Amino acid sequence: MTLDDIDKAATQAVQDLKSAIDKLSDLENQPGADGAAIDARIAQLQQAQVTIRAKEVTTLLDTPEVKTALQDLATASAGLTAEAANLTSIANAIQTADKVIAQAADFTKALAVLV
Amino acid sequence: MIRLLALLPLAFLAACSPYVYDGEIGKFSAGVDLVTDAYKGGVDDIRTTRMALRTNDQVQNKARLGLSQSCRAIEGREECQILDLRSDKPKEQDDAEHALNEVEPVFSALHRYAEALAAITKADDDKALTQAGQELADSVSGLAGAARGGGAPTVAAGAGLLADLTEVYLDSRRLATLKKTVLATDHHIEVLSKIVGITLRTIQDDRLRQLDIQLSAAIAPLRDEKKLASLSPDDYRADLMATQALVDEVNRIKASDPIAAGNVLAASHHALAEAVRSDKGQSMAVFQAATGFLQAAGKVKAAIHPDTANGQKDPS
Repeated sequence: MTLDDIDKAATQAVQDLKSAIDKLSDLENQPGADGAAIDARIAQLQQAQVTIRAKEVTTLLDTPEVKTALQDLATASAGLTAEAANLTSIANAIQTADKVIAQAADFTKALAVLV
Repeated sequence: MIRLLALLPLAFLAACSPYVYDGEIGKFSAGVDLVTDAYKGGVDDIRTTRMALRTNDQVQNKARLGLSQSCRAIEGREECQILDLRSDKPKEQDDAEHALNEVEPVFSALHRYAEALAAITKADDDKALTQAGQELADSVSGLAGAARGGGAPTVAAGAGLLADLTEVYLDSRRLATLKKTVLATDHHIEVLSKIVGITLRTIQDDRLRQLDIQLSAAIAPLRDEKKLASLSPDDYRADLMATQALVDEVNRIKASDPIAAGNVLAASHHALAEAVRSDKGQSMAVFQAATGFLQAAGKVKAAIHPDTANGQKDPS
C-alpha cells in the first residue's frame, strides 16, 4: 500500500462516520430530541474518527518509505552541517590571512614615507 | 586585464551561486519552524484540554479518587499522581495523543534539515570575504602612491584576484553541496510533507473533537426548552456569549488546510531542487513557492496554535 492508499482508506472511513454524525446533528435540533443521548453518540463517533486518523499516522510511520526518508534526511543534514562548517573555516582562515597581508602592506607604506 | 579575465568565471558562477537562494531557504526554514510550532503547540493544547476535561468530568460525577503508590514511597522518585478509581474512567492518554507523540522525529528531522540548508547558503561568509578582499586590494593599492613604483598596482590586482577566486571557489563548493543534497532529498521531503499534513490534520480533528464536547455542554441549556424557561436573561446572555466564543474558536481552527500546507512544503522544496538542477539561478518559481509555503504555514500555525492562545479555555 502506498502512502496515498493508506490516506484514502482512512479518509473514506472518516467520511462514513461524518455522514452518521451529520444525520444525528439534524435530529438533535428537532423539538423533543434527546440532546444528551445524541451528544454522547456524536462524541463516540468523533472519537472513532480521531482514532482512525491516529492509526493512519502510526501506520504511515511504520512504512519503509518513511523510515528511509527519515534516515536519509538525517544523513543529508549532517553532511550539510559539516560542509558548512568546513567552508566557514576556510573563509575565516582567508579573512585572517587577508588582514595580515593588509597590515604588512600598511607597515610597508609607513616605512616608505620614512625612506 | 588579469582582474577582468578573473571576473568572467565569477560573473558566470554568480548567476548560480548558492547565496541567491539565501532568502528562499530562509523562508523555507521559517515555514518549517511554523509547522513545527503548530505541531508542538497543538499537541500541548490537546493534552491540556484533555486534563481539564477529565477534571471537569470528575467534578461533575464526583468520581472516587485515590493516590498512586509512588506518593507513599518516600525514597522513590516516581511521580505522585491522583488516580481515578472508576471502572469506566476516561483514558489517561488516547490513541491520538500516543500517535502524535510518535511523529515527533519527523518534525525534528525537517527542522534540522532546514537549519542545515540555511547554514550552507549563509551569505555572511560571502559578504565578509568580499569586504576582506576589498580591504586587502585597497591596502595594497595604497602602496603604489607611497612607493611611487610600478609594481604595486600589479600586486594589488593580484590580491584582488585571489580574493575573487576564493569567493568563486567557496561559492562553487557550496552550490555543489546544495545541489547534490537537495536533489537527493527531494523525494524524502515529499514523503515527510505528507506526514506533516496528515499529522496537523489529526491535531486539528482532535482539537475540534475536544471543542465539540465543550460546545455541546455550552449549547445544552439554550437548546432545551425546559432549561430555557428557567434561565434569567443574564444567564441566557452569559451562556450565549460562552457558546459564541467556542463557535469562534471552532471556526478559527477550521480556517486552515493542513494537507495543503504539507503539499506546499513539498512544492517549495521541489521548486528549489528544480532551480539548482537547471543552474538557472534564482527563479520566480522558487520565490513564489517559498513565499506560498511560508504563508500557508503561518495560517496553519494561527489556526492550530495561535501565539496569543485563546484556545485554552476552561472546559467547565
